[in-house]
Amino acid sequence: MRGLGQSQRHEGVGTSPGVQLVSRRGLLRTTLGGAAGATLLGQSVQAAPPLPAPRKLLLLFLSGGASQLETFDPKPESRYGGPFRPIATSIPGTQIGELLPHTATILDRLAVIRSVNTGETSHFRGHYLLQSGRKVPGYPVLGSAMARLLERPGDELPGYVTLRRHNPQAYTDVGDAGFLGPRYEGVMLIDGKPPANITRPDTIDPAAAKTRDQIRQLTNRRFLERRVPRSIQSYADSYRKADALMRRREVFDLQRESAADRERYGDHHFGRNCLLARRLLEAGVHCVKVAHHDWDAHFENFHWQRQRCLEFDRTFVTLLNDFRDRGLLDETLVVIMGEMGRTPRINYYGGRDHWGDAWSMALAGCGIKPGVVLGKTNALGTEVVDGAVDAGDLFHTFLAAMGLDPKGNYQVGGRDNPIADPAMSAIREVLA
Amino acid sequence: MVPTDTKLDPTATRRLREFAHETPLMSCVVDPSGRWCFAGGRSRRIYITDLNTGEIEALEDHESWVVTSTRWGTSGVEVRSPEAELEPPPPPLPKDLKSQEADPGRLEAEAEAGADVETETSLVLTGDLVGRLICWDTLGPWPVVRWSIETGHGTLRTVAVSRDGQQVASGGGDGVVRLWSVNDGSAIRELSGHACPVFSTAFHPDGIHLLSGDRGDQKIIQWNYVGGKPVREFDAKDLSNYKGGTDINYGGVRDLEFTPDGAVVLCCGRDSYGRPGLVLQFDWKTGQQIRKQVSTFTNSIFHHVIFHPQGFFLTAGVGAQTGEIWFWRPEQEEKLASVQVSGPAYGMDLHPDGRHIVVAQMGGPRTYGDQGTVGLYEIPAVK
Repeated sequence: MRGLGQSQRHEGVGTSPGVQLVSRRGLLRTTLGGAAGATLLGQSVQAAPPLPAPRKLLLLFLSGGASQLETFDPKPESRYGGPFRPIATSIPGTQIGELLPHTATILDRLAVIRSVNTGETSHFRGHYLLQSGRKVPGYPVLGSAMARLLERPGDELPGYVTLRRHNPQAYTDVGDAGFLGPRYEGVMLIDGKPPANITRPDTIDPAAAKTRDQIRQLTNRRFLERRVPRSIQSYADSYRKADALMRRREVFDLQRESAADRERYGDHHFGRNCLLARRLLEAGVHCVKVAHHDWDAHFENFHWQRQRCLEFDRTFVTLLNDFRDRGLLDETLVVIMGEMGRTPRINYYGGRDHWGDAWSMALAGCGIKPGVVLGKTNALGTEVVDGAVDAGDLFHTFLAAMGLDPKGNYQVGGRDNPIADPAMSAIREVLA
Repeated sequence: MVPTDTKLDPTATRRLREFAHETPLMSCVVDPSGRWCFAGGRSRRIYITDLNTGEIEALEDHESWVVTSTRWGTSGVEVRSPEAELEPPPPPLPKDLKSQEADPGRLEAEAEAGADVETETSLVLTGDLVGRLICWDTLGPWPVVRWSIETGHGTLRTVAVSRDGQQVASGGGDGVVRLWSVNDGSAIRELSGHACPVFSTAFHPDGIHLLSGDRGDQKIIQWNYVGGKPVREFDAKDLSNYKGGTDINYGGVRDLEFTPDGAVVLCCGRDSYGRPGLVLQFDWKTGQQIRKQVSTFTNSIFHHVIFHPQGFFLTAGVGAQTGEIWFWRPEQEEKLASVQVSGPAYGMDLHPDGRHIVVAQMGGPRTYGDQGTVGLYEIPAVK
């Protein structure tokens, strides 16, 4: 078994069978200054300093692909610019689309990247690519990676929760924990409802249920003594997760938030899910993904972008202000992106189609340098002319902003597997 | 001047000519005198085409794409029909004449004249996607801006003038219907009741009621616009167009129209996802849907419906990169005729002579239109 470095704060804790974390930096540090003869694993667990407050990640996923021209990269003088006007922002000299008036007032607290070039125009591949930083299938998406990398002893709640609407199912159900295994799969909450069956039926006696679970655990342990544990462990993990959800089910109850807060976040799926995200992150979930649907405007793009921006804009700023006021923003990375952008050219139906060559996203919170606008597209918005970044670079950046080592490795089946694509690198310009 | 003595034959409708524009077009209207076509599309410009000479002037009074327009004129306005052949262009007007505001002296004289002195009025109203509404006076030698206001809709989608020419109704992205004075653009009142953007409005001939139709709920609200109260709702769910895969509703009440006697309401849009454009008819008295006329225009959506004084009505719309005008008799489900036009037809207007139709079309390469044309079509007399 390979050792775990101190820079990985939660080494050896709850690791999926067959998957360990190895940090090059941590390994080197531990090896150079390590105690002779001690196993690295044993030593690092025993000698680890008090755990710092864990960072968290909130992914606001604009599912379907928001139009960069109607949001962060307006082109008012272009024939592809669309009907909306640019507006001034809190960053002098920087304009964004008029559909985001609230966001414009806090742009100096964000880092905006206007030069994302993934070349990917498939919803399915784009969802996976942007969340895993990989084109090759099988890697964990951001939320699952965070669930693994931020895992701490005593964690009760799932590390990764994804919030979405009932429909559409297709785009958001791509990839998840990959080789990390079911333990790090996201717990999916649909339409703001708590996970199913987390309330014990009245017909089941609590004492009998407890005894039954003890028997199950005992049997499990015996069973595990003589077998390869992976699949069994996953089964046990599911029980553990379900049990935690039952004990902490109040976390999913939005009615416990004030009516004023529910009003401030907005009476729509995205608003309710953002409020729930705040609640979950405060309760100890490491990563929450909120899917904001219906940005895929092949038809009447300007109607739909406006509708979506109306929901997004106020809710997002409310959430960011709340995070700041509650001290959450110092420890939470907020990522705003979709799986692609939209064509500068406008089709006959008034729609913009899929575009992966030049589009925008934004970051805020821990590890991010605020007030940065990175990259540039050409006059028509069709190409990146400066500061191109790819999905792999973004994944490195997310990890770096979270204080994690993007050059670290998972160990899968005895082999190192880089946490982030080694061919890519973090975007220094947006990192604090 | 709509012909009543010459029987027209919609089945023989033919294209008379086309006027090329630099941008894909989305709306058009002919002024009450029949001289000018105001067309707007994917630019901030409004294009004024002289239908007899083919001269096109582009003005930049709008702030965004001009997507809705209407006209209103008194009965004494002399209507000039397009000639079969284009005339030679007249000498250009002085620039200061084209750019001037409406003569305030004349407007004041009109206001002071009141009901005792008959003065003619010829107006065009155009609206854009950031909420600006402009009223153009077209009585003089060149259209001039009578007033220009910010409506507050966000996106302005529909505009209509009351039968007496005193009030303008506008609707758009904020779901509110607003009434304005035709005279000076001052606000009269707001009508709130839609939960989603308003895409269509129409005044009833009774001078009391107004209909508004929305984009998301397929709801039509009848308002007593004089008293500012909602009266009832019409259920236009057949114009719903839901696609489960993306959970988007592509439907909506795209246009509203009354028969001249006000007995029947016509509204148009699309019949479920991937299905053709259609028209619904409602009985004004009972509020019940009485007919559903579905086209065979593939993957289409009807954006406009106009009732013709000779008892038929027209719809125009957009299909898969194509455009068509359909003619219908109110009492029969099958079409009377249809005409394919040069490109997706987002805008249509009936010329005040009743014998011509103008269509705002898109054109250009496959999928992504980057040009536009105003098509002028003639409904010939029955031979």
